Amino acid sequence: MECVAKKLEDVFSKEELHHLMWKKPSFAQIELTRNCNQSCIFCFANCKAGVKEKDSSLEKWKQTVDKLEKLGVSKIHYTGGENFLYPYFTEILQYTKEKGFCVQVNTNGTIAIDKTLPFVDEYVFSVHGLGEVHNAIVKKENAFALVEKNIKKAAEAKKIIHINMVLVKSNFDHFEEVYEYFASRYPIKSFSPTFAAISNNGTHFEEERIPIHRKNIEKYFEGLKKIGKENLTLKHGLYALFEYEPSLIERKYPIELPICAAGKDKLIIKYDGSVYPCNFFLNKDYYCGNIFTEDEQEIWQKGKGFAPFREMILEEKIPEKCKACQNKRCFSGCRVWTKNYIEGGKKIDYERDIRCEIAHAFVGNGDYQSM
Amino acid sequence: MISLMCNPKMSYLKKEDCYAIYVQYNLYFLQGEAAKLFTKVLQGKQDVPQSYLKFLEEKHILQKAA
Repeated sequence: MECVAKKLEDVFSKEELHHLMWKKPSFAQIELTRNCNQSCIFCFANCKAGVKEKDSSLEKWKQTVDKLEKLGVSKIHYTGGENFLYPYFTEILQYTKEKGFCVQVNTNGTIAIDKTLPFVDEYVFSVHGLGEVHNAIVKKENAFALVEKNIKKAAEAKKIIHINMVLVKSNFDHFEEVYEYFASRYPIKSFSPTFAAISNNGTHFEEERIPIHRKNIEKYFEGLKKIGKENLTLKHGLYALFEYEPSLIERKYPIELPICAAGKDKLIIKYDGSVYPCNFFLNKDYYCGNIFTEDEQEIWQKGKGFAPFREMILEEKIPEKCKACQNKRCFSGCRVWTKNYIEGGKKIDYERDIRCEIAHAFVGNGDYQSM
Repeated sequence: MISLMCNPKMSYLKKEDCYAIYVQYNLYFLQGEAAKLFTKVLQGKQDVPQSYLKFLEEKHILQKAA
């Protein structure tokens, strides 16, 4: 009997393959604490120095780590607030590392990292300028000197180092210099200059917000090119500035998934155990459950907040203009950069990412004027 | 002898004697002999060629047991 070769898409439906791809999340972000010792002008989490909130117990977080292990998560990314203010930070890191997770830690670098070095694979340091520019943005004296000291320690311990820089008016002209400064001194794995996005839940920073228009996008892109795409981690889908790059986006499957990981690849776990799909969609409509009290599989499979991000793909809830785009893999871009969200809308809007609308800065085919 | 186990990051579907395997942003399609061998791997059977196990390891579908 002749054997007839089949094709993937002949055997499995698109829906089955999508479900397969988000069967389990690969990483979880945990906000261990909302307490912070800086008051960054753009904080999307709205954390401020001096505002004290009650932390959850070490036991609860250990149980959460156990649940994430069962769920199939392989990387835990501790965010904040400032992680180093959580009283049992070293203990939870040790527990996480001993469980075999890849451990990534966000920090503003103002507290000594020494005790955590054995249990952390990757540090993400927040640096928003050089010297006084940084200190002014985070509203803390001497903050730059402290963060550099900790970057040096991480480098000496041969840890993977990433630098996050949030772009606002006062540092937009300097982001290439920030990269040069650190890359010439330390082994920086990646640099992430990111336009500050307005968050419905975050600090208001209208005066410092960079207007998103064509000129600024082009200026940004010029800076990125000087740094080199191999040295960058671009958030909110901006890899597309370098056009469709399989080496960067790593898409080898024959069906499309958006750059957005919400509902597909990640869990956002807040300090009180509540779970959401995205740091920017934290209202009741996007609540997926509580990891402290509910079954982790139930949350991942049935959390109502994940549904709109999945439906967007399954039902192709994208505007006609996007459907016509040859690179519609972006699925209309990042939901945080829609006009509706920026103007305070709390729900997902299936309009295009404004960056594509304004300056074909997203995955758009570059022919935005005729679309 | 090196002991191998399924990568916990991997997930798969089986249909019409074929497999779709998703691991680390890659999707693989197994059919025919490759699918039969993968069934054996999942069942923990030993009569699977080393070259096939090496292929699965290279694709991160299997990984070295701790």
